[in-house]
Amino acid sequence: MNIAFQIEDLWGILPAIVLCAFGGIAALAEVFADRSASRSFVAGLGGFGVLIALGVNCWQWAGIEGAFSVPLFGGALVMDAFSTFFNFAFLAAAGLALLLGAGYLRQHDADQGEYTSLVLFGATGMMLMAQSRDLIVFFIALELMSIAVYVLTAFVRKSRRGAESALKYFLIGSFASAILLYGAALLYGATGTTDATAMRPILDADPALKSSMLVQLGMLFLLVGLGFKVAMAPFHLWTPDVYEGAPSPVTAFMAAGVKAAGFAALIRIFTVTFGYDALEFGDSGNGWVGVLYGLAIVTMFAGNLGALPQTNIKRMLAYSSISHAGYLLIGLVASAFGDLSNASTIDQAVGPGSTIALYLLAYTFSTFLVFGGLSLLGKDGEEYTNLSDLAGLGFKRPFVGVAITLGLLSLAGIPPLGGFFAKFYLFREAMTLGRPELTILVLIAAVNSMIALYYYLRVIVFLYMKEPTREVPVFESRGVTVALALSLMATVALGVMPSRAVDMARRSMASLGSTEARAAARAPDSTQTADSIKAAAVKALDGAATRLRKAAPAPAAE
Amino acid sequence: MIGLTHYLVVSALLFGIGTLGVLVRRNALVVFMCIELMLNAVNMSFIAFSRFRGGMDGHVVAFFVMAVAAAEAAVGLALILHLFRTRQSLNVDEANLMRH
Repeated sequence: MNIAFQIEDLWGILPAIVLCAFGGIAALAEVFADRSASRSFVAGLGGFGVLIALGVNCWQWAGIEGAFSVPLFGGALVMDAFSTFFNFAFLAAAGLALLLGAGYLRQHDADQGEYTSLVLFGATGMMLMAQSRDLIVFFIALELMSIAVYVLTAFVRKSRRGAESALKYFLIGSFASAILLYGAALLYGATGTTDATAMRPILDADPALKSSMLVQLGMLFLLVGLGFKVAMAPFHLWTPDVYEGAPSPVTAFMAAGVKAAGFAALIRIFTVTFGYDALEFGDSGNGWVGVLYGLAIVTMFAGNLGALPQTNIKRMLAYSSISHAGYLLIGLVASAFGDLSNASTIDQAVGPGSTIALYLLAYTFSTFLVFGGLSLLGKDGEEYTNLSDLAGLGFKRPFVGVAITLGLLSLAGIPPLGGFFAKFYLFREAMTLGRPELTILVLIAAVNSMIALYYYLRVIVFLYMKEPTREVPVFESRGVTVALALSLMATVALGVMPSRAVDMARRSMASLGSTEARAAARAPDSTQTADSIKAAAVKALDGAATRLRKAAPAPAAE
Repeated sequence: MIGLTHYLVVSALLFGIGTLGVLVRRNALVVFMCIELMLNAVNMSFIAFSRFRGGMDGHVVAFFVMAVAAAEAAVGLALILHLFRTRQSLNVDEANLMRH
């Protein structure tokens, strides 16, 4: 853990710094806010912070030329197109969660400004997770995200379900974190470093060490820990309870943001810093890929079959979120195969890898459409999320009905929505590798998509074709309307004109295998990397930070 | 002579006891204590590796882990207290409001 601090490294984590700062400001502003009007001021402050971070992120995206990767803080963190792309997803999740939260919290008598700062801190953790290369920095980022989300789950104090699900989430989440940390300890013991990128050349140089119990157990524990976070079967049993009990805006934030952060870390740690070839397990061929392959199948079936009998929509969506983790694992397996078939280049892995990024983006917006609509049903700590509670909502609130319907159709993968294109792109990229194993996996996924149609369409039947059985309180909120409109536009845009998003996703994945990152990985000794880091930082930040650089004094030469 | 293996075995045992406790105990507070035990077992591994391999990384990590564990304890105890207030019990088996 060689954390060398250079002031220009701060540019690389600027979006996270902005969010963190606004989270702190919002927490302070809350102290002085005692009336409802100033509460919405706190929420507005948070929204402003998200917008600024979004601006900074766009600025950085424009500044990164091609597939490029800049190590920060001596390689503990990294800024590249990959992390910047995922930042868009995290910022979208945070912004939408804030928009949904304002009205929801007022309705449930929990109008506290801490909601804003917790969402911002959680998003900060997610960003740092996608950026971290050092396992310990990664662990701290993970905890930053998790602890914020634990609290958010229990945010509505009147809700008994919230209290219960928060405790379950907390106990299982910190159990998973401890397992993950033990994995990091074992890998540290085997290689003498906590930097996952520096581990790679050490492991590559010593095949006996690579297949040793210490390293394999370490990787297994890391996988188990992350598996809990992204709700991968067989570590998914907490998901339905937690998703059902958490406030709907928080559930959406959890489903979209935490899953995206978990997958970002899975991609970076499992496939890149250890190298795609490290996925090969000992001499037994494709061991780790085999494990992920099996997990993908189990996860898809566990999710889709579990969702079938559910009568509570949030519970059903929890199972559906598990099944989406299964589809995403296909992308991970395919990108591993892509590189295994052609070990000298990463190019073949870019296509399948980019499907994960695109899928997560489409999933984020679709999820917010459905949960955003659902968050309107309820009052004073009680949410009305049984299927029968939706009866007639499609006519009572046409826009909300349309939003939920389109969100569900997008999750089901119906054209022309974002969910359809993401799924189509995922299947196509997996098929183009021409491996029979992947074709089988795609066929299984197609069967699963058909199973999923049943439970998604059933909700729509209730929305439009059933008579209401009991009076359900539905509140009005401008924030929710705005959030739904934004998500709707994004979902349709991703489905109708996805080429730009695909380009961005491909660029983000290509940056993972860029030559600079590999060169830095091959030369772990500090004197050599200091220069290359410096050169890389200057090159990448030049495009973005020229103006500010002129204003600031030139950094002292190393 | 006490070597690296001894420390690692003790650490693995502690981690195992913690894991077992999380899986079989039913009191939320005890489960939480078992998680803390797991974290401390990990700390022990880190420090033993650091001591016997040279380098200070493991020692530094132990401090970070302690800080994270403290933050977790603050949130965890608050959540446990919150649950106790709503149902006057810490038994995790009784936390069964949500069933499909």
